[in-house]
Amino acid sequence: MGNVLQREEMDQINGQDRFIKSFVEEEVYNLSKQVVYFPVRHHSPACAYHLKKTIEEYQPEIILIEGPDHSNHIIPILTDERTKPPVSIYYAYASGEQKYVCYFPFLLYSPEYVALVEAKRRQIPAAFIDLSYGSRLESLEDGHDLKKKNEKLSYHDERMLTGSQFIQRLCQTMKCRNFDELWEKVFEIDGIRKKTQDFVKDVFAYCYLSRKCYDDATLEAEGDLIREAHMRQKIAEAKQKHARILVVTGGFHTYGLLEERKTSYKIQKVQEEKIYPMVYTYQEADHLNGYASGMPYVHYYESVWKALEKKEPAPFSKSALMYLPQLLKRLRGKGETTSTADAIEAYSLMSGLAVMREKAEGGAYELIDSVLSAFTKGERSIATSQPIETLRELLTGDGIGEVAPNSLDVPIVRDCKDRCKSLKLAITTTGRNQKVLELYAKKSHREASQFFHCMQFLGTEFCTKESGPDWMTNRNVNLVRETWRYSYSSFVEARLIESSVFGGTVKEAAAQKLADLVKDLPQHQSHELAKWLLMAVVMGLEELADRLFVSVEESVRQDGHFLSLCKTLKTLTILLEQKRLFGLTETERLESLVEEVYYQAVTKIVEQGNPNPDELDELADQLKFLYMLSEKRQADDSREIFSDQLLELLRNDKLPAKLEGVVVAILCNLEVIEHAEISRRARAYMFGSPEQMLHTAAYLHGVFIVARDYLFHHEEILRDLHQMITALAYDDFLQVVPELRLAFTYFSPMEISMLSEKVAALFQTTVEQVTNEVIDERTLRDARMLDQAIKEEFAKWNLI
Amino acid sequence: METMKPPMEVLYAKQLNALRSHDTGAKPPNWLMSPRAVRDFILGTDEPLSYEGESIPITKKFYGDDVLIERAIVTLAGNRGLMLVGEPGTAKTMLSELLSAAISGTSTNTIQGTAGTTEDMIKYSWNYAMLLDKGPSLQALVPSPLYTGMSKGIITRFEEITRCPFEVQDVLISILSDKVMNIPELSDGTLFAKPGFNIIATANLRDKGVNEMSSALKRRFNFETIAPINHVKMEAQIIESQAKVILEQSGVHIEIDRDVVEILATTFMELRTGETKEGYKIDSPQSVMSTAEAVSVYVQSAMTSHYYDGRPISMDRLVQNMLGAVVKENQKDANILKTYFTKVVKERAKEEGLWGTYYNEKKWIK
Repeated sequence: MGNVLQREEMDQINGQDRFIKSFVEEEVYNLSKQVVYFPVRHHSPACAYHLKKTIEEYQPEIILIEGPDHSNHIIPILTDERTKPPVSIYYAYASGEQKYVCYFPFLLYSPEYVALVEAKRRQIPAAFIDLSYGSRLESLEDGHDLKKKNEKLSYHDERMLTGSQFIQRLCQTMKCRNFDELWEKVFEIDGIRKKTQDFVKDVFAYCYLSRKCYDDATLEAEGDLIREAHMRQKIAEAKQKHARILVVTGGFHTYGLLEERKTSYKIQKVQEEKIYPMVYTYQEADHLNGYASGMPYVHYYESVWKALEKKEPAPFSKSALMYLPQLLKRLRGKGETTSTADAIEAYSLMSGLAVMREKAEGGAYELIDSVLSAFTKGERSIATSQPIETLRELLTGDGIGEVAPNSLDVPIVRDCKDRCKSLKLAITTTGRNQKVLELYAKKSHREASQFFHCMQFLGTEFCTKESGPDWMTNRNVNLVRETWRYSYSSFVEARLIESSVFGGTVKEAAAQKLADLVKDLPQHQSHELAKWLLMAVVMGLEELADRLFVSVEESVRQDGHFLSLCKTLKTLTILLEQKRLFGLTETERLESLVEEVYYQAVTKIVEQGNPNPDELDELADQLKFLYMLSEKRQADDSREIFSDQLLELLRNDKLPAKLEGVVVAILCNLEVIEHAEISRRARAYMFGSPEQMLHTAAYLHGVFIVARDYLFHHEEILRDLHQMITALAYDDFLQVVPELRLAFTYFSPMEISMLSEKVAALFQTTVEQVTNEVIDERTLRDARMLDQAIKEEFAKWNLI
Repeated sequence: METMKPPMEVLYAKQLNALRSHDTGAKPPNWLMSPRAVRDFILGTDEPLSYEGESIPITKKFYGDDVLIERAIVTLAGNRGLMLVGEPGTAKTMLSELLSAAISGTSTNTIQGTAGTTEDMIKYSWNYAMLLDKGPSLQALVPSPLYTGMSKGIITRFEEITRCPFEVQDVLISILSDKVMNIPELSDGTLFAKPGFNIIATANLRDKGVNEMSSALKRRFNFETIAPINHVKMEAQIIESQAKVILEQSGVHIEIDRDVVEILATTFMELRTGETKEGYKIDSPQSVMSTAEAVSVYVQSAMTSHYYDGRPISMDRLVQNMLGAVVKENQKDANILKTYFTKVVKERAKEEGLWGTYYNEKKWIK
């Protein structure tokens, strides 16, 4: 760092170098003093490396760490041997309607984590000394950037550190493309080769100068000053009890902790903040994912840290050597043609680039550059980006950490993990996994489906259904397999923790959430209740389903709405038909309820004589559904009631034409009325008054909804239709044509071709002629004009 | 000797000498400069260097991705060749000339690839009089630039490699991997490459698919893609500096009009990217809207104004020449340029000074 700062920047800041040097030697890193301040950058292996050496040398009695002071009880869990980073502490704080969450991540090589582990190994206390998350939010006027609703935020926000103008200019001078490369070059690669005292001086100098780019008002508004005041107080308390105190904080705050400040702040105490230890993923820890806290390429720096721990002389080169074969293997797995020669070339390029860039060895950026050059075959585009994308994936890592079992363990999280384990769902990596479930073949797959549905219902974003039957909307119900995509992350875990208010297991929480939802539903809308009953069954919530069933029974009796009853009937029929899939063993009550709803619905048919025009389509569909259901039913009386009701409805003079078509077609199919009745009524419309004629299409539409085969057996209707269309005035034709077209959309391609034959026979022509593309008006006009012109020309020459 | 376009090693002789005299870095075998000095030569230095009592500023010669230059230099010190690919007019050739001038002291050891390039143009051919007289001998052999590169340990440039037929391209495969050329006509006919030899090839993306390289050959090159510049100020700077050099070489000593350059750079960039600076989508012409093309438009306009009108560059000349650059491949491109004037230039003409004059010359676009 010395040479960096002694260049242009240091020249401009007269005397600062001397001040920094003496300040560090006397105040910051003076091992003979009662308090030693160790400035760090979060998730920096070099900081962790020197911190470990400092602990060794200074032998502190206590280590104080920048972190919310009300989460000290989590420390033993974090340092438990069974805990495997990356892990994090989750903070959730609710203020009125708003809910705020944030994470405090720990990686294997985070200086904070290394300090905690070292403290445990040496059997000395370690404690967090920063403001609690809630207090930090509440003590600031107008809130802070952290105060964003449900946005994923890191406890360590480094924008102040990395965003200053000082840094931007430094990057330009040092020929680095961004701050992270600059940091790696100066503090990681060179840093591990320096004496700890010099390293601390450099980190402090850089953080101090960064801090100087902001005025007090900004620092105050960002909440830095109040936090530093709180930490100063905690350090003062520790000084009463301990002779050697090591303070580990972000370098940005080190100067703030030593600065003389008289301002006192009022800290708002906050109750009821939730704190849990939870897993974290490499992907989330990678700041490139947008959390601006700490360094990118988490997995890469972890391997550097491991190499440092093994006292490798060139830890960065050693790590690169590990990634290149992995990259080759993964690329070959993806079907890319790569050779060992590419990896050799990349390694040699890496060393060359390191020399050119004056680095002791090549770091992450040299590795990326060399892979870009050596592995890309052709121009850079999406087609050739696979090697570099794969390398980035490898450098970031796809693992998920593990938290040791503990008393704070959230039961629902544990239950979720146990169930994933028993259902053989992979949750140890962050990749998107796929699971195909054979619903009818395997019981375990049905259980997995229930679990996925519960997780989806809880809004955990753990899984999404890619294909399979959707019982709720009655779509794709013929499919026998479900395909799910799922991936586990700390985000899922956080959502689970939030859902823990509903219950201790995934099933319990889903049941409670659903019960809460149903509670506010109006009693007389049985179809809504039936829908949630089906949902409960799909999620495998037997107990709730039983309770909901009773509610549906009661609701049906109060429901006087025909459409609602029909929808309820449809849902209950699905339940009954799929009883094996849903594991319903005793279905007597269900059967009798279906019976009851059927009669309830059927007896309300007669009331539908004057329906709301918007509900007409739905009404037609439900009548068709009731007809199909009555066909399946054995009992004669049920069909009789149905047909009686329809006959009664047909007597209504005001019945809309479409509904009339549906009713007549059903009654014909039930053999209650003659088939000729369909044609007779059609003719009545076609040759009636002009207003009535316009209803023909709607009537036919209704008929075709139920009985489209009618047209094939009764050709007279086609003849009549032809006659009617010929007689229609142009404007009337335009009015009737959309509905007529809609009516004929019910026919399949095969039926259309049969229909063409009938039409062709009617006009005594061929099918080809009928189905030929219609000649457009312009062509016809042009042809007529041409014809006329030829005639005139011929006449001129006396040829005609 | 007076030349129309002096090679880079002559044009920048002072800078190269200054850099060499200050170069303390380790040099790969047969390189005249260390990789770091080569980088400084291409990307420029903040401070001028003193050489023979003179202060020599090291200018920035390539604008774009600085990291790409570092990779390219290190590649040349290694085992593989360097392949520069990109749209036409993205300064691939200039970069390859700069690299070879800095590394080997010459940028003229070049194979100019065409559809008619044959294998003996790449390897070697014979002085047939001597061949008939004395039989095959080293004296009768006419070395190619590749042969010269291998025997002297210097960089060989291979321009427009994808214009050459596949068979000819593939000659390079074994030479690049084994660094040896067999001459079966001679009894001791094996030429081993001296350290320092390497190849810089350039390929045009517009030629993609004409003579696509074999994957065996691709494997022997490290690829660097040079993207067009997407920064108006930077593009304007390049147009200005290059136009100045070309005009001076042509004996036209006039000042470069920065405002005109900026309008030209803006027009070219917006038409190339299909997006205006305000973020609106526009159509892009089929022609190559490269920086090199913009430089040529400027130079031509300045020269026509100078010779015919006896005044500095004028907007009517600019638009007339621009039309020639844009409408090359398809007549529809004229319409695209016209639409650009009607939609974008007209709007700007309302507020900004020179844009109004620019818009008035729309009449030339037919």
